[in-house]
Amino acid sequence: MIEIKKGINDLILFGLTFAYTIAVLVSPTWQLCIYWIILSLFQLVIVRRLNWKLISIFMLFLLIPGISLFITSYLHLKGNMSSYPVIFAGIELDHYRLTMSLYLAIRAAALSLVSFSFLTAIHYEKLIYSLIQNLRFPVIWGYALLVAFNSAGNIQSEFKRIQQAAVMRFSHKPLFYFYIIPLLVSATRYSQQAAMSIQSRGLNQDKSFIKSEKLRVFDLLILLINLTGIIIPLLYLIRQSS
Amino acid sequence: MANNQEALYNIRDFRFTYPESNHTIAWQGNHLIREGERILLTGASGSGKSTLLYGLMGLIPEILYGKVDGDIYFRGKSIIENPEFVKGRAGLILQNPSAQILCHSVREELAYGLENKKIAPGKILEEIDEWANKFGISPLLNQRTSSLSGGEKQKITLLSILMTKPEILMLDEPTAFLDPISAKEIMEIIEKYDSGKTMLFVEHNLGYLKGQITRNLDLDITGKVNNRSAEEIIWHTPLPFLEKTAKGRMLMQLENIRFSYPEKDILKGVNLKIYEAEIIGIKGRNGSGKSTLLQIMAGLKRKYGGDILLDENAYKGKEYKYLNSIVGLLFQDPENHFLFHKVEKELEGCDLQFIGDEFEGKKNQSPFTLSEGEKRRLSTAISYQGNKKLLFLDEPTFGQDINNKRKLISFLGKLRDRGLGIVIVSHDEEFLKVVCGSVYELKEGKLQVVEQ
Repeated sequence: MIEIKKGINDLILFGLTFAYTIAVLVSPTWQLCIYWIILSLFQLVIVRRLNWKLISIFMLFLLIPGISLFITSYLHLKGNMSSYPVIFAGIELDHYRLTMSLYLAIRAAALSLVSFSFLTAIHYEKLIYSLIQNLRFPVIWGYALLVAFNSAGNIQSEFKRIQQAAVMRFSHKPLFYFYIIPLLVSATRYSQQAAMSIQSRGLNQDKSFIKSEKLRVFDLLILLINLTGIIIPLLYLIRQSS
Repeated sequence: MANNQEALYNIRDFRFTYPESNHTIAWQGNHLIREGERILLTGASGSGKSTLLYGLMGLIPEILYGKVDGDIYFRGKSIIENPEFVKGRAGLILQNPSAQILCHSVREELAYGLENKKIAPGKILEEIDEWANKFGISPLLNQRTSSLSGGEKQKITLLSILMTKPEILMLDEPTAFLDPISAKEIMEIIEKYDSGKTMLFVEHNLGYLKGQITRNLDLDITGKVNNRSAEEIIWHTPLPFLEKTAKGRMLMQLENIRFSYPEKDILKGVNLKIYEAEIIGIKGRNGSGKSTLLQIMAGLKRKYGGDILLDENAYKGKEYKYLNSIVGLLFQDPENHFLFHKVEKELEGCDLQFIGDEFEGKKNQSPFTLSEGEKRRLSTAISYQGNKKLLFLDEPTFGQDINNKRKLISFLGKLRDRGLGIVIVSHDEEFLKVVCGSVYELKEGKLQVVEQ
């Protein structure tokens, strides 16, 4: 029986990564940036692709550069004529500098969080199959990418072996520079064998797939809802500012 | 009888020179490969056995660049000019199982070849189930390819190719990475598949092929091809025994060594004593923990249970640098040891008297361009430098022909006679038998004596 695809197509998720990133980039307020974060994470919760543990750790790490950016922006920004003082925890702060710093920090955090959560939610092999099946992406490139992803573990263990051999030889870890030649040779040999394996099994652009990653109406509907959710608030803000 | 069979391939004075190489791989004269033949390709390292397979697969010059002379015809059509003609009609199994795996799941991997033939998905899935039942791989179907052992990966690649029903199957040392049981399973699949299928084998372990071969083509390094019948094949050339010598004092003792990976307890109490001038062999199945044990003994893995005693004193984890300084570890792939672009640089600090003049004329050559035997001996010399007391070798006979194995035996004999304690991990049971004073098997996390 042919496997029936569940959930959202990874090509749509990939497209949404760009859409939300652009939305954050053009957002004029920090409140809107928070709206994009919530909307994009909600999206991934619905399709059960959110890796809570990973995202939580990432958010914790994000706090450090976020707070640093907020403080440095506040200290370096110049005040505005229309600005007024705000008392926070007994400290007098400049309203304009406060909101601008908050905006810059949240915008940077939103950019990182949105792209990170989407990219960790995408299944790369499904994305490649989807690109091939929907956008006529060349199969030779598709399988080359699949092999590259699969080889990551192999290259890592190869690097470890080269490093261990060097440690045994010199009784200390030599600089990374020394590993480049053997690592390159190993990667080249691996890729050559993989290329042979791809080609010798009769790679064909016009091929069938046991896993269908074709876009369905459901996927297009999700895309449409998301784009509406992005475009309407942006249009509203543009109209208000003009 | 063979002459009446239709010619599948016609190799006409084929020559190939790799870029920046002085050596031309040649197949002098015309050679036919007929349907139904099972040919064993033999020849010294570097004679061009694998290169010929790549040529027959239509991978030259498309994937393997270089200078080509002569021609190869598949069913009467030149595949040097039209490589597409042979694609999907001939199957090739390479040595390294990992590098041939393309897909994320076993099912997708098995389907890859049939998908390329544009067979309907429903039919492909039916065939996969049928083949999985026939060859006993049903439990693997839903697994990720990255979680498979080397033997399982090789089985899946082989089945994936066989499912496409190629007109010829070529196998380039398919058992090189595998333990004897996995290797036997691979050969059983081939036997069970189709006894009348045309096949070409490049294999050092001839024992697996006895009774399956109809002809032998032996390639000389000069390009001369010797055509022999199956009866003329020398199936087994015995390796020379290394004379046993008296052991010295104890160098290392392992006491109840235990080690676990997150998903598996791999070593469950290993005990071993290594003496001066002693060679110990360890065998075991793929994934049994042999390489892990060597890494613990070399001080490269530190989170283990039990004790390692050196000179009868317990070695503490913090003294790993000392352990690194007295132990040499040789990895399966000799290229892992090369850090420089010239042999001369690699040899710095090595005992040149011990190596002799083997690399005298090759000092300016890149170590990566040496022959397989030379690479192995150079990497052994590198591992030994700094007057080590112990030398651990992980699969030293991998990719070595009989002559290189002989040289390696004499090389190891010299090292042992210098008082080194040597531990060899290998699937090559015959090599262990002739070289080692005692052989152990790592089974269910413990060492069991096989021969003493």
